[in-house]
Amino acid sequence: MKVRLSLFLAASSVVLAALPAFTARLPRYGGTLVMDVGATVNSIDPSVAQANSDDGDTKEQIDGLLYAQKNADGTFAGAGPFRIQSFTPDRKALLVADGQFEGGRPFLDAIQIEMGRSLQDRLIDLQLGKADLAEIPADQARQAAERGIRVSRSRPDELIALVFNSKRSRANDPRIRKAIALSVDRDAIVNFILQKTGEPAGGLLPQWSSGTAFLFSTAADPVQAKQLWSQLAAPPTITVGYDANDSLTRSIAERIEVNAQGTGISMTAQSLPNAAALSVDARVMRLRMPSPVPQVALARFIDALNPLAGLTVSGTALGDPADPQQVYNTESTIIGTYSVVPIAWLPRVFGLSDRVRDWSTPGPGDDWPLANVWLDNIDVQSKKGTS
Amino acid sequence: MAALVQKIAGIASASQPATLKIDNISSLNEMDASTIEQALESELGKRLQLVPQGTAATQITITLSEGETGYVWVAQVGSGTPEQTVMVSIPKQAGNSARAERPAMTLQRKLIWSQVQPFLDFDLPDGVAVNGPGMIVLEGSSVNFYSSVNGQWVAGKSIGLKPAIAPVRGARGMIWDSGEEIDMFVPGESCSGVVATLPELVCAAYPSTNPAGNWPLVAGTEPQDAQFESNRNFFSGLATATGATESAVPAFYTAAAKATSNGTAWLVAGVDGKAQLFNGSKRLIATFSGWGDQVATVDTGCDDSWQVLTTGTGDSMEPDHIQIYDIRKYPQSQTSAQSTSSQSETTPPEAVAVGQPLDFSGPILAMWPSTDLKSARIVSLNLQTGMYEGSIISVSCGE
Repeated sequence: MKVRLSLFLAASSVVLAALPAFTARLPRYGGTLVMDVGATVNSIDPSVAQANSDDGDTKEQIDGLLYAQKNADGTFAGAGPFRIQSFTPDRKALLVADGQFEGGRPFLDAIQIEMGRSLQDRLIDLQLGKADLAEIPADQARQAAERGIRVSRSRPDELIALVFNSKRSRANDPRIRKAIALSVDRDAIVNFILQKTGEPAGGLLPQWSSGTAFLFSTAADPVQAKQLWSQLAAPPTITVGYDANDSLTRSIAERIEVNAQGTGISMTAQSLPNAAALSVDARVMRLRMPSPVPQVALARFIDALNPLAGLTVSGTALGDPADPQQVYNTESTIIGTYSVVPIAWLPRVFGLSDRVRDWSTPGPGDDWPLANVWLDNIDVQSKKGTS
Repeated sequence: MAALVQKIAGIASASQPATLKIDNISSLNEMDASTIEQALESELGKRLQLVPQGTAATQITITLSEGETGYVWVAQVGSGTPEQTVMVSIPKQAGNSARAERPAMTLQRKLIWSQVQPFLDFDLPDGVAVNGPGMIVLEGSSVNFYSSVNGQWVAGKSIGLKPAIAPVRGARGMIWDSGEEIDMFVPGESCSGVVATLPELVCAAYPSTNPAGNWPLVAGTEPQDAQFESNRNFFSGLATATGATESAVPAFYTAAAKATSNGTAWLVAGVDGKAQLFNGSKRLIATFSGWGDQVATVDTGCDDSWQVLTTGTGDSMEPDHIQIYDIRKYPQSQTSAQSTSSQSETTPPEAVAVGQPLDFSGPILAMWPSTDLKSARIVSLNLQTGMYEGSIISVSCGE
């Protein structure tokens, strides 16, 4: 039986008054987005590569806004969505929209990048509305959210792993590697050190990429770890290194040390002055996925791990596209040696101001998607940034 | 599916009873997963001796999983020896079948089409020739035709577009289906054709065929042109009879019209985020807020009042919804306008939400009313699957 629509009116009616609020859904054009970055960039010459200790890829990301494509040799070419308007080395860059960009003019008029901002400065700028966008370390994401900062995180794409040094004799006994692997309490690391921003890692690829990560166990087994260790005739003391400039890998290395000692394994965590230092039996490494495609990411990880771990498998054997069975078998072979012990997956985290719209946290290999971002309430905060 | 069954049969003994357990950890919905589970069980049952859980030596666990490049179906087979793992990849296909989704109160959604690539609009023209295209999908750089074969959409002719302007970010597009003729608009180019001779189309870049850059809007009795800003994503205003921009109505994203005896009343979703109601004399008589940027008149047939569909606020990373509003106390006729005129000075028009909103799992990117106003075409992004979806929204008066 049909009921007249008007019957519904009385039952569930909400009268909208004429309120002067601002709402949006379709993109607005205009405004200057202010972005804080921790790194400093001293040249915008695309041929100059620059490694940054904090934000890592800031120079490359800026290049990604200025140029249309990145060549296989790492150089950039073609006009991008923004042009450089002004640049003060290590301090500030102002990028303006290119109305003729072949992919369409960006919605923003300009991006003002403030460089060398400490984490505290970035968080305060976001809180005070002085910045629209800033990267936040994953382990600080929860604290930032508790401070009222709008937080955006990617799918987990950075692997933290314990990698054994194949050139050290103490790491060559598979019972030692397996015992240590089984002693690691990944859940505790994710819950307490990463403040639940991340997830335990059992494989070399995250579930969202490979679809098979669920096949790898992430559970600790201290009983079996203790049994394995007790089989050693002369148990050694294992040294685990971490990057002296990276507080997160330090915390994780120290937690691995606590877990190991809890099962009777003798272990010492120690800081390393530089990334290449090989004077330890194992080290905690961070590996960011270069691509969401499983075989591409796995091949790059194998290349990155090989100098330390001395893996017997090669990533070049993976086809394109690779059969998931092939990717899984390769992953499984590496994990089965216990030369690489995946610990946790971290997302990439950004803090945003309330007026930022259509921001999608970049995934592996992605540029900052600022050509698609637009600002709501532009007039309200037009005092910000450079017009 | 056959490949996975083959692999499982290759490692499990046909003579030994086996139990089967299937888990779904992918984005497949319950109904699709259930269909797959039944099919797997049926196929495996032909090759193996399947028995209830706990009564067999061989355990087969199939997990419907998902990775970046598609679905991954994983089988773990254990039979005393170390467990063996085999898997197959299943590409994600464009949705092919039209299926109705559960109606939400008086709003009903019929999912027509889904695809990985973004698209701007779609249409199901009536009166196409035998074996002619039953569906048109307008993308930013092409017009794609599909024919219905055994209930499945099969890709046909594709016509590339070459707009005469620089590419526009966030571009919009529209298909205007007047019954016998059909027009398509994207910034900088339009195409025209006769429904009976589709997929033949004549496409021409602005400004040769459309100097003012006008797009038609559904206005009830006859179309009303509006000037589309080709290098942006909004209309600069309604067009006058001479093609100039009507100055009384501000720039807007979408507009809903209602014919009255003293002209067409317009409700426009302005670029300032406000929905403004203009009477037949183009005088602003009310402003509403809290709505998104898409409005469309819908002729529900439930009563004589003016109902509009509106989308929600937010951005393209958030779920969206459609809500029906009943526009009340607007001047509808000369007579009632006079009586309402004095009334409206004290009681301005109101927008009253009707029924429950119809939720979408992602942003609604386009909402265009059908030319008969009986329904609206929706293009949305499903944030759970990453697919762009085309749906028809209609309103029923309730059961």
